[in-house]
Amino acid sequence: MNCNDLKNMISAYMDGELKGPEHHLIKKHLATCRSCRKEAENQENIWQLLGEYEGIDPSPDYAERFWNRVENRSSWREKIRSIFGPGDMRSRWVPAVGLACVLIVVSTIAIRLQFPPPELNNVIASLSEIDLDMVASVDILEDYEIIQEIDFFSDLEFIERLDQLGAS
Amino acid sequence: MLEFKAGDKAAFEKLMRKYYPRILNFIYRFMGNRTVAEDLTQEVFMRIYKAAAAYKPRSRLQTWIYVIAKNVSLNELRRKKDFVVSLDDRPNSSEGSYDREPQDSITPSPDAELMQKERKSIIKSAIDSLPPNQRIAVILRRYDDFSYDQIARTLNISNKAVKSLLNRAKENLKVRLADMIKED
Repeated sequence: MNCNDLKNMISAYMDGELKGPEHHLIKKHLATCRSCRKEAENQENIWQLLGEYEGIDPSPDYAERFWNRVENRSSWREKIRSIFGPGDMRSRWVPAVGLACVLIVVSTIAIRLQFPPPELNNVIASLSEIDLDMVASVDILEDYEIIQEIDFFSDLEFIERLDQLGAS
Repeated sequence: MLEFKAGDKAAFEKLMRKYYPRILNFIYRFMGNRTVAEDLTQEVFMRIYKAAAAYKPRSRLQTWIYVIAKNVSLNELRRKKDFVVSLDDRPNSSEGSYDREPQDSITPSPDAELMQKERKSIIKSAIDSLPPNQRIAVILRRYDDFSYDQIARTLNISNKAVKSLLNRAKENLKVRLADMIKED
């Protein structure tokens, strides 16, 4: 074996990870080879140098912070658990809760379609027939929040150009 | 851990007292930022807490904890890969008020302190520049005193691969820290 082959083993030798014949081989080689000895010294120096990178201490409240986190995590779980009961009771509740969720979503959508929000009704009620025609022509009723935010009756040109503004 | 599995909260506190500082420093040296290290260490112990019921004493507890810490750190590194490092994360300002005080009772002069900080910053940059696996191997070996076998189990690689990893890491560090070795 030449120096190059042995150099790859110096790191493990310095870390005390070589056993038996390999350990003796490197030990014997270092005693006679100046270049490899220098390499070993360099590695040792680097290792010592790394020691200057000191560690940090945990913040004083680390345990408290941890248990708070555990508490927050378990509190919402326990709340749900207390509603649905323990173990096998929960399995009976799951389909019922799922069905209830679906019903709530469907009902909300149906009601929303049937009865638009009162603010929209008020806006529509306040418009004259001419206004309604005009509004219909500018095709922005879908987003009545925009209409509420702009003083569109005072600036018809702006309303007429809304499509273009929206596209830009 | 088995005591904690049996519902003993005090047992988990004992485990935290033993491993929290070690995991914090492992992550700190890997990520290079105190705040991130604090948050990720909390996350590691949360995972341990949640997974305690599933823990089987097949692997050593220490290895199991370090594997979780490694995974959490690598995930964070992947998540932040495209993020630009903020000025607050730069080496000189990443240390908070909880950094260890110098061990000796002599207060260093401002110049000496500055020089010490600069040296630490260079060493930190050298470690930061290593590819993740090399960095983990160096940290585990140098600061956590892990054997090659323990590093192999933590990284899920062979003992031979650990030898090669550390060999390459030391070569890289030698290049990065060449000026400091000459100075010495």
